[in-house]
Amino acid sequence: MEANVPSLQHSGMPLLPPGLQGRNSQQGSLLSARGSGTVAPENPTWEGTSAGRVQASPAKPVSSRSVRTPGERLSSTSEYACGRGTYVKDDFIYAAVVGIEQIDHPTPRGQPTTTEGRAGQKRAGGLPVLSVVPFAKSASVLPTTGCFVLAQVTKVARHRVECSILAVDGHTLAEPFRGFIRSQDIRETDVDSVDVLECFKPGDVVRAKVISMGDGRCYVLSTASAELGVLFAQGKEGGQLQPVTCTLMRCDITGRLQKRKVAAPVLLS
Amino acid sequence: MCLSGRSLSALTNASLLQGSSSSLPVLPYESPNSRERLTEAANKRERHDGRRFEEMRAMCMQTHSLAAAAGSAFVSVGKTKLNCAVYGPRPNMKHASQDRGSINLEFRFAPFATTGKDACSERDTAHLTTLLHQALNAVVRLDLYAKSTIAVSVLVLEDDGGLISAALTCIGLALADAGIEMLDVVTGASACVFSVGHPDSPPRTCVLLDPDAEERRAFADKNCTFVDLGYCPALASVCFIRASGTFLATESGEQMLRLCEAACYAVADEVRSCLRRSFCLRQEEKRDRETPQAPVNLSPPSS
Repeated sequence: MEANVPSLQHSGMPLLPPGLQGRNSQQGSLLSARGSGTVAPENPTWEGTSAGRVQASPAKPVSSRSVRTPGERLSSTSEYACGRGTYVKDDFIYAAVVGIEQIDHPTPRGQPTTTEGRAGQKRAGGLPVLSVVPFAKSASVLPTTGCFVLAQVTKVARHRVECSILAVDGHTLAEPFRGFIRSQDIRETDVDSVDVLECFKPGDVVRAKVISMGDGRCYVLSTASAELGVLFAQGKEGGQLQPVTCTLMRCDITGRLQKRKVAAPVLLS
Repeated sequence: MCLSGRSLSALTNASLLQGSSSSLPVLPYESPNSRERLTEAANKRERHDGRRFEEMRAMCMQTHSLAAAAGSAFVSVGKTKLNCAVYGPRPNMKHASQDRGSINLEFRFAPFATTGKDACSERDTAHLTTLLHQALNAVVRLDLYAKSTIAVSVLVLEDDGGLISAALTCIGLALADAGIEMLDVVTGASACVFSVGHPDSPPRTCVLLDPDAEERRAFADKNCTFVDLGYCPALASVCFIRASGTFLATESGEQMLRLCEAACYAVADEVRSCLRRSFCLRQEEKRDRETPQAPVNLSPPSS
C-alpha cells in the first residue's frame, strides 16, 4: 500500500489515484472528529493531547495523530517550558509550526549533600521543555548569534571583509545573506597588527561564527578562533590552495606559498 | 472583534471531503442564469447547482505542489483554483535596521482565469494585496525573522467567486508547508445575504454560504450584502473581513457572520488534516530513502 504512494516532489500537480483518494478521505474524516475537539475554545482538551505525545524518538514511525499544526494547544505553562516551534499565550503553550511534538527533560544532577546541593537540585528540577520539531528540509534556517556559518568572501577592504553567508550550521541557505568580518575579529592574538590583505582574498570560502546581528543589513562575523578561517581558496593561476600552516597555503600548480588565515582541521566525531 | 463559538450544527463536513484533484471541474462556464431564475430557485430553497443554502462547494487542498518553492499549496473551491508559493526567509535588501521580518505578497491572475466579460482590473489587485498583507502580518510571527522577507506569490488559475477566502486558505497552507512559524492556520469563508419576495408577500432574507460567480452576478444590486471573512479558529479571532451592502447591521448580517465562522472551523479541520497527511508522507519518503542502507549494516556482524 505504501509503495503505491506517489511522490509529491513533482513540479506539476499530480493526480491522486483512486486508492489514495479513498485513504485520504478516511483519514480526513477520522482527523476531523479529533480536530473539532482540539480547536474548539469552549472545550479545552490540552490535557487530553498528552496521550499522543512523542517522547523524543524520531526513529519510530510517525502516526498522523502525533503531528501538530499551527494553533494547536499543547499544554499549560505550569507543566512545560516553551521551546522551539511553540509560543505562549494566556498561560498555554501552542504549536507554531507543523511538526512532531517533543519533550526534553532536564538531566538530573548529583545527590544533594549540602544546602547548596539542595538548591542546585531545585534548579535542576525545572520544567521539561516542550518543542515542535518541523521537517528537516522545510525548517527555515536563519543566521543567529553564536552559530557557525560558511561564507564566501566578496570584498576585501582595509578594515573589514565582506562575505556572503552560504550555509548555517550545515544547512544551505536558499539565498545568501550578507555579513562582514571586522579586522579586529580576524585573529585571537596580534589584533592591532593584522593585515587584512594577508588573511583573505575575494572568492575564499571561510568558516566563521556569527557574533552579532549588526545594525544594518549585514551580520557581524568573526574568525578569531583556531578552527575558523579559510577552508577553500584558489590561487591566481586557478590552482587549488592546500593548507600548510595556520598562516600559509601552497598552490597546486605553481607551488608558491600564499598567506591566509587558515582554519585548523576539525575532527568529525 | 471576537465571535462566539460554533453555533450552526447544520453545516456538514461531507461536502468538503468530496473534492479531489482528479475530479476538479474545469471551465468553460455554463450559460449564466438570470436573476429571476435564481430568485425563483431561492424561493424554493434551492440553488442553481443543487447545493443547500449553508453548504460549501467541493474543496480540494494539496501542499507541496511546487518543487522549487520553500512551501507551496494548491486549493480548489468549486471552479475557483489558486496556487500559492512561499519563498524564504530570504535577505531583505531594501530596508535596513530591521528588528522583525516582512511579507512581500504578490497576487496575480492568469490571463485565462476569468471570462472576458468581467476581467479584473489592476487597481483591484493592488487593493486586494494590501488587505491580504495586513491579514498575514497579524498571523505570522515576524519577530523571529529579523533582516528577512518572506515572499508569497499567489496565482489565480480560475476565478469562480469566493476568491479572497480561497486565497487566505491557500496562503495559510503554503506558509505552514514552508515551516514559517504562525500563531494559527488561516481559513477563509464567504457568504451573502439578499432579500427575495413576491409583491404580494412580505420580503424575506436568505443567507447563502460560499456564493459562486453566477450568484454574485445575479444578486449584485443594492439589496444584497457580500462578506469575505478570514478567521483563525484556534485563536477565535478574525484576521480579515471585507463586506459590502446594507445587511451587516441586521440579524441577517449576524447570521451570515456566524455561518462564515462555522464554515471556517470546518475548513480548518481540513487544513490540519492536509498538513498532517503531507508531513507523514514526507516522513515516509525520507524513511524509504534511508531504509535500503540498513541491509548493508547487517553484513559486518555476520562476517
